[in-house]
Amino acid sequence: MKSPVLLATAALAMSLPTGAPSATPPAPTALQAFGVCATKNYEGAELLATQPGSPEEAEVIAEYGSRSCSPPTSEAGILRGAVAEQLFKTDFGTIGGRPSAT
Amino acid sequence: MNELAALGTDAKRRIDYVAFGTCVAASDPDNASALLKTAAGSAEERQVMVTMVPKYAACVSEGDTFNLSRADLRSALAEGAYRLALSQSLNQEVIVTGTRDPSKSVQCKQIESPGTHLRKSVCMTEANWAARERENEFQAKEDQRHFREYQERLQTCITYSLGGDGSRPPCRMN
Repeated sequence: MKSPVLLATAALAMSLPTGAPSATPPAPTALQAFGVCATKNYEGAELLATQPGSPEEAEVIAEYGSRSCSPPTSEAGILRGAVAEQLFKTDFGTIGGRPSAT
Repeated sequence: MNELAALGTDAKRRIDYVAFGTCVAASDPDNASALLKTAAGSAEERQVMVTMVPKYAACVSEGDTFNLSRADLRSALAEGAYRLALSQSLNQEVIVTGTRDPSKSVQCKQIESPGTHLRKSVCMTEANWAARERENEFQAKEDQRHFREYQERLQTCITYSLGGDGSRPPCRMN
């Protein structure tokens, strides 16, 4: 079970957990390493081009795993986030930033 | 049945998370960028997330409840920020589902920046654009009012300085 950040419109209730959630999340460094690997070796964007929760998404993640980028968690949303974060840093840095030439 | 309706609950929920992340990133691009510069799980990350809380409510559809861990929230914002930055670089519209905004979209426009000839690409939801337009209209009316007041003061000042026997000091306006 996740420590909740609960968002609702009728009554916005939000709490950011300070302690470790009950389900152990992957180490940030392992996630970052996955993001770097996926971005470096496979351009990464193909994962973000898939629909969340689709069989294509699962196939792309499985392909990463079968090569050199071992996913540190089975939660696809977290893996997408790691790849998106790495791509954002590599290509833009800020929203509205110019894409890098590389 | 359309494609979206045919999706399972988990897939819909995850699409909503990405839409939520894109909406929040559009509403608060500076903090969304700042968040991704913090270390995952750090006190700085938490601080930025708390700063962004006022932007969250407008990005959740009425009746929806999100149950996000910090890692989920960071992931949603990361994907949203990347999609938004990419769309800005391409000057394309990003479709956002699950926001309160009836247009369900984030629109990018080229805006002139003061002090430069370069135009800046700004992406916001339709509701954000409408709010910005109202602010601009209000500001334009305020500017007009100040200008009229200045003209009236100037006219009074000149009239006064030209009146009398010519010994009055010349009109000086700040």
